[in-house]
Formats: sequence, C-alpha cells, structure tokens
Amino acid sequence: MTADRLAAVVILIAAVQYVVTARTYHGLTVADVVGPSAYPYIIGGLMALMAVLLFVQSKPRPLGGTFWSRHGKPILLAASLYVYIRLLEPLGFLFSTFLYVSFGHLWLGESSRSRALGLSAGVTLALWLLFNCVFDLSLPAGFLGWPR
Amino acid sequence: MSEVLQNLGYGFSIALQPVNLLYAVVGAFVGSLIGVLPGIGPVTGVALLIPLVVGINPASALIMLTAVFYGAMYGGSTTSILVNVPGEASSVATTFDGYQMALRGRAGPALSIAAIGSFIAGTFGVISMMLFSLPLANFALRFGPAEYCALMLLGLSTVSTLAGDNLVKAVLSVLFGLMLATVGTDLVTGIDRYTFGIPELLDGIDLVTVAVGLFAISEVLLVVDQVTSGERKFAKIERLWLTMKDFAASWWAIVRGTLVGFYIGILPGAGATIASFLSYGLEKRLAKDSSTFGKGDIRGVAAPESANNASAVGAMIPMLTLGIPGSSTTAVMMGALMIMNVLPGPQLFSKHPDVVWGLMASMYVSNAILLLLNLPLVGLFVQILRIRERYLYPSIIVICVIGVFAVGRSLVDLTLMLLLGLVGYYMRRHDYPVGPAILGLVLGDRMEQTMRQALIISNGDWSTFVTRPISAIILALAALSLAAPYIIAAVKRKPKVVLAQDV
Repeated sequence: MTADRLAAVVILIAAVQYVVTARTYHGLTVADVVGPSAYPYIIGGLMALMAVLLFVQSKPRPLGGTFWSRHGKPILLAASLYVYIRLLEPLGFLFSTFLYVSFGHLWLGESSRSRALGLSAGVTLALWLLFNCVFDLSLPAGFLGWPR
Repeated sequence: MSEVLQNLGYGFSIALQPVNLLYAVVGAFVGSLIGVLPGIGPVTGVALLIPLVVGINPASALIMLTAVFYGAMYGGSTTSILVNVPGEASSVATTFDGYQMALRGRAGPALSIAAIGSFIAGTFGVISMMLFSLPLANFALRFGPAEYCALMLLGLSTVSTLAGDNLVKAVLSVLFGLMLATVGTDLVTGIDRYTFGIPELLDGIDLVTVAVGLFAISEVLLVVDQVTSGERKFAKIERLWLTMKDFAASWWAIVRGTLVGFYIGILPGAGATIASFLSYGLEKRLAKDSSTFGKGDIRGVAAPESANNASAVGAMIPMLTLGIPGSSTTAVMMGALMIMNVLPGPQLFSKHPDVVWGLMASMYVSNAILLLLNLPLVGLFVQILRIRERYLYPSIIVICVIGVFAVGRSLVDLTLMLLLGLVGYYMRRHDYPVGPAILGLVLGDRMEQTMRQALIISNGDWSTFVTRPISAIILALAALSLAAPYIIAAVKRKPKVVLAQDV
C-alpha cells in the first residue's frame, strides 16, 4: 500500500461520511429550493471521485527509512506544540512559552543549558511585551493571575 | 482618462497622509523581516497581522497589509539570491541565477536588479490597474449570482491546473478548502453544519487559523528535520550598485517579465509562482546564447523578479473588482477585508472609493519605500539569517500561536491550527499544493451562496448556469482550463518537440 493509496482510502471514507452527515440537513423555506445539503453533496461527491482517481493513478514509490526515521522529529515537534497549547491557559503565557522555547532550543541542538534558558527567557519577555503591552492582546495570565 | 487622473490624485491624497505613510513604512519593514525569515512567507505574514489591524480603519489596514505583502516578496528575493533559500514559491526561479551571481561575487548587482525590476514592474502594474479596474468593475455589475458562481469555479479550476504537476491532488486540495468552508452556520437557513457540537465552530473556521496551520506550522514541521548545527554559507556582498551594462542587458527582460507577469496575475487562480517560472523560461528561450542561464545571468534574475511583482499587482484586479482573489496571498487579503466588513466586488468602487484608490496609490508608495529601504538595509536583513535555526523555529511557532490566539482567544482554534499543520505537512510531503485549499476556503461560502441564489431565481432549474450566456462562456473556460494539460500533452506527444526542458 503506497502513501497515496492509503490517503485515497482515508479521503474516500471522509467524503462518504461528509455526504452522509449532510443528509440530516434540511431546508426550512420553500424558496431555498436546493436546501443546505445540496452543496455538500456536490463537494463530497467530487471528493469521492478524486479519491478513486488518486487510488488508480498512484504509483508505488520507495520511501527510504522507517516511519519513525522519516516522521519522528516532526511528530515530536507537533506533540510538544500540543502540550504547549494545553498549558497556555493554566500556566499563563509567560511560563508556558518559557518552558516551550527552552525545550525547543535544547531539543534542536543547543548544548549549553544556561544559554538556552537565558535566550528563551529573553524571547518570551520580548514577545510578551510586544503583543501584550504594545498591541494590547491580553495573553493568558495563568494560575497566578499575574502579570496582566 | 481625466477620471483616472482624478482617482489617482484622490488615491495619493489618502496614501500620502502621514498616518498611512507610517503604516506603509512599518508594513514594508515588517514584511521584509517576514520575507527573510524561513517558514513565514507572504501568506502567513499577512494572515498573522490581520488580527492586529482589524481595529484601524479599512483603508489604512489594507495599506499596511499591502506593504507587508510587498515587503515579504522583496525579502524573499533577498534570501533567494544570498543563501539560495527562497522565502516562497514565487522566488524559486530567482535562485537559479541569483544565487549563482552571488557565488561569483555579484550579489550586489543581483539584489539591485531585483529591486529595480520589481519597482519598474510594480509601477507599470499599478498604472494598468488604475486603467483597467474601473471598466472591469462596471462590466461586472451586470453579473448575477449564476455568473459569479461560474467565475469562482473558473478561478478554482485554473488554480488546480496551474498549482502543481498532479491535477488530482490539486483538485483534492481545492475540495478540502471548500469542505472547511462549509463548517459553521448556514447563512440561508441558519442551521449549523459540521460543527460536531463545538460552539467555537458555529462561526466557521477562521482563515487565519487555516493559513497559519497549512503554511507556517507545516513549514516548520517540514524543515525541523534539516536543522543542522553548522552555519549557513553566505556569499559576500561587495559592490551594491550595478553598472549601465548590467542595466542595459536586463532592460528587455524586465519589460517582458512585467508584461507576462501582469497578464498571468489578472487570470483568476494563476499566481506569482507561475508568472516567475514562465518569464524565466521565456528569457531563456529568447536569448541568443542561453548557455549562461543558470550560471549567473543577470537576465535570469531580472525577468522572474519583475514578473512576480507585476503579477502580484495584477492579482489585485480580480480581487477588488470581482471579489475573486487571484492567488493565495490576495485570498488572505480578501479575507482581511471581509473581516473589516468591506466586501470586495464591483460595488466596492462606489461604496469604498477610499479603500480602492488609496490601496492602488499605496501599492506604488510601498514600492518606492521598499526600493529606498531595501538597498541600504540588505546587510541588516541578511544578519537575521545568521540566527541559527534552533533559536529561530521555537520563536516562529510562538508567534503563530499568538497570531491564532488573537483571532478568537480559543483553544479550539489553536488545536485546529496544529491539526491543519499536520495535514499541511502530509500534503507538502506528498506533493499536494496547499495554496488551492486557501483559495477554496475563501471562495467556498460565496460560491455556495451564489449557487443557491441562482437556483432560487431559476426555481431550482440547474440549466440556468448554461443557458445564461456569460455564465455558459465562463463555465466553458473552466472546463477548458481543466482539460488543457491533457490536450497539451496529447498534442505534444505526436511531434517530438521538447519544450518542457526550458523551465
């Protein structure tokens, strides 16, 4: 199974699900002749068709390495981003960003721990001053309710 | 003609107001920074700034966004030439000869000709835009919903054909964008669709979230594998200015690049990337001795740089007059306008003349600012590239998080951004173009509405799309644009003329 074929199957399932969900949408007025489900039918139908075409046209192509050697780093980065997003409100912008940026520096190859921590403290503070104070975005303050 | 001059004067009176001039300068500077940073191109740059400019008046906001857009394009060419890293797809063609020139110690002339070519192209583009857009807008007033629906279909089909090598994948990308657009409350009946009970989705998925996820987050995920401990190699910038001989050699390349770029830009769906590749190919074909191309020929920098700039201006025309953006960046800018309650389309010219003419004049002003800003500041912008990636990428992600958070202050948006980043990563790893998805998202809502309006008018008769003459012609063009690659391939196969190698 090539990546494209696998994608084609996933897309086909999504397209069918999309159309099936659209069947529950009913119009309320007589004037709106096609109702709220006609357009999703068209989009979903075309998508299913394209998924079939994708399945047919795909050619097997050798991918070097294992799944983890190809996608390991990006997946870990995405996971760390997820953790950062979840921590943003409970910990507040300053703490969560400081942790995330320090982790990023160290993980991407910074050998000196003190330099990573120092730099990320600087970056965090600079971004916070710019967006929270200059642009007035009121970033999450966190459990301390401070600083605002 | 006098009407055009009058509008021009009105436009400049807006663009040259001290406040707007300040917005333009700040925008140009921020844009250049964005263009130089890897991972954030013009699309993401403009998208990230939308939440920050929503409060100010639409004309000033649009002036600033345009300056950012322009600045990012300039910044992208700078990095293409100096380090062989194109900031975005439309400056890829510039790397072919630009980087080669830099390696041969001619980075200065390469940067200068890129700036001058862009300036000339931008000037021509803005003047033509002033001449063309009003007649086009007047013509478009005759369009009904059926015509608009057909026109958007044409835009989406041309972008699918031109966006990549694989038509099926490009169409899938468009459909993905259209699908995302159906999430939220249906504007005709008021029922909510595909919200899965999540209240944050009732308003639909925000453009900023999608643009940042698909473009910026996916880019960082994509390049994180290539982070190395070594520093990038830099070409030295010795002499900044170019000689008359250089200028004379590139003059016709600039003229041709401008014309090609502007024409491509007007076509809905085709964008700066195609324009720059086409004009590079054209120069190479027209040159008496094409062996110098790819080895630091100045024409190879002048042509694509003029073309991508002219097309950026050209793409504004369908966006402003018809409400149909010609590229991913103009799609994002149109999204920004819609957030500010300014709906692009033929009525824009009478309802918001300050936005239209102020924007056109400010495009010209931005061009001039960038020419003045970029030549002396090239050294500074290049310093940014010396920052190691391991310091850069975490900050870029934090900026994206702030930008998306600013839109709706919700974790749902941030989670969606991450999911779309993963989708974008998959798409780019497997050769699906991501630009068409943005265009699909921006056009989706209006396409569905116009389709349903047209059917309400015709009492549910679908043939209205082909019996109305203008709509029928546009639909025929859309079908033709989808079939074009296959027709060309079929014609090419018989006589064995090799044209594809030119690009």
